[in-house]
Amino acid sequence: MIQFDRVSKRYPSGQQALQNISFELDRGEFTFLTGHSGAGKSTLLKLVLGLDKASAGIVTVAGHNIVQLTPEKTAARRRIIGAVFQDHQLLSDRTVFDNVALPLEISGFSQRELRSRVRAALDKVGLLRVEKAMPAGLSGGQQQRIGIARAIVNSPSIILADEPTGNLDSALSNEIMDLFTQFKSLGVCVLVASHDKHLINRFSQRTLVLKDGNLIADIPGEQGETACAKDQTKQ
Amino acid sequence: MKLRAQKTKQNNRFQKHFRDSLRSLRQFQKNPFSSLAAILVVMLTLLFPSLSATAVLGLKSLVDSFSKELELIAYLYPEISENKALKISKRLQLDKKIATAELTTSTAALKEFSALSGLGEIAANLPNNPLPASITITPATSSTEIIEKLTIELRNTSGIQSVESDLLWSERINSWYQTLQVFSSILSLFSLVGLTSIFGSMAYIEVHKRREEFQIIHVIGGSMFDMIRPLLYSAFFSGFAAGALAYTLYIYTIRSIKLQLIDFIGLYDLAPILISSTSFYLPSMNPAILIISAAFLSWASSFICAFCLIRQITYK
Ligand SMILES: Nc1ncnc2c1ncn2[C@@H]1O[C@H](COP(=O)(O)OP(=O)(O)OP(=O)(O)O)[C@@H](O)[C@H]1O
Ligand SMILES: [Mg+2]
Repeated sequence: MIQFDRVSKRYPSGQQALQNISFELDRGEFTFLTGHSGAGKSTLLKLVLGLDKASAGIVTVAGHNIVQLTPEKTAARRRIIGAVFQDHQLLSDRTVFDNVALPLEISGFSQRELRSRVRAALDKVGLLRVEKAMPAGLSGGQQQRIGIARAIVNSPSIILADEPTGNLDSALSNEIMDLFTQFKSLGVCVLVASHDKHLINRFSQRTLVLKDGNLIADIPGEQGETACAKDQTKQ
Repeated sequence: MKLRAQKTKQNNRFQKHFRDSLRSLRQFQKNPFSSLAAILVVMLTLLFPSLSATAVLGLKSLVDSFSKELELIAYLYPEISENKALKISKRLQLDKKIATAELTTSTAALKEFSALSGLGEIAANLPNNPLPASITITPATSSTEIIEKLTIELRNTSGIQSVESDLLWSERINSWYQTLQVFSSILSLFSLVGLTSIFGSMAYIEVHKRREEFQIIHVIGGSMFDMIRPLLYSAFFSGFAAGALAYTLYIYTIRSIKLQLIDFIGLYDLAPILISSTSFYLPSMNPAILIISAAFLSWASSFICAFCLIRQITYK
């Protein structure tokens, strides 16, 4: 689903954010991306989204080398990806409901289907009560969950989440991770960037470790099988 | 299956347009004063060239009606006999530049004079008829150049003592017409530049106000058109509203000016010609032209501006 082939990224400022990174993620695979602050996690996610171009190497997303796509085609590719951003990226002048509805509006859903999908997504992150509120009036954790609801609302094939649990307590973090593992069992490719060691240990999935822009470890999920089994009994 | 997918696709597109047009209308509701101010500025910028264009057309119809009504009167030498006068007038009728040439013999002129002046008896008792015979000529053309040429030819025709015409008036109005035409073209050009920059700067402000929104739409996979569509609807609606308002004001102004103009023309003793002449009118602009061109211009300039700006913001 996502394939990096000797990818490097150097910012115009001269900062070498990623260096010669290669890995492959399949559909239905849940992967953590970890590393210290400034290791290049957000940069890597940006390359997958096509929000920035790799300086070298090939980034393939759902079978397409996204460097070669036109801006419009890259945008279309982004629509199959549900992304949670480190800085939330919410519209301050629209309600929680309208923020979550945005990807569906772009895809041109009918009002009726849009409403039921947005409600379902808000329900999954526990925000149905505040659907009419403005994001600015909500807590950091609530805003983060709006971003998560927006990422899952359009039934994406890929979920990219940048520190999705940064502002959440451990109970909420677990709930969100459970939500993501549910998507995994539906065949969605999930990539979660996080430096929360406890969380990563608790879920023990495949983990990519970055250090100063280098991929220093690719740890397979030890309990991948059991996690899957747990999901299936849940449904 | 394929048909259904196609149908949903069309439906999707309709949904997007519907939502964005509603959203742009709501934007007006949110900032009624700034929207209204912008619309008024656009309206005035539309109004001036429309009025001047109408003035040009009006003056043109005045020039035309003048030329059409123009008559030349050729006075013959008093010693020319009636027979000779008739010959001259017959010959003139053969000239291609002349539509009609009508002889008024000196006897007929005297009769008319005595009937009109009420001095019939005195005139009848005069030993010699003091009035010359005259030929009233209607030119076949309304071109002042040709009429001028004709006048010179007539003056050089043997038997004709003098030629009178209203050509001077016609020329004066014609030069007014030409001056105003240049003025109006320049004004239209300025307005076009002005309108484009007004619409452009409106788009510029709007893009910068919505910078955050565009960036977010961009990162979650919206296309350029998803970002630009609400702006284009706003631009189209405000252009349309400005065009409609400008037309209303235009009609009102034209009505008032028309009445004023008829009074004014009366002062110059031209009223009989103008009022009797059906060709004189102040042509009104077609409302569709004004409104559609305003809406289109607004749409197009904001399209170009927003497209370039958003590209800068999102595809650095
Ligand atoms: N837009 C940018 N222009 C220049 N340098 C950048 C830019 N974004 C990131 N960098 C640099 O690239 C490196 C990697 O940054 P990145 O944001 O990917 O780190 P990160 O792993 O997400 O860190 P954090 O955990 O703090 O979010 C950093 O050294 C950063 O300074
Ligand atoms: Mg980061």
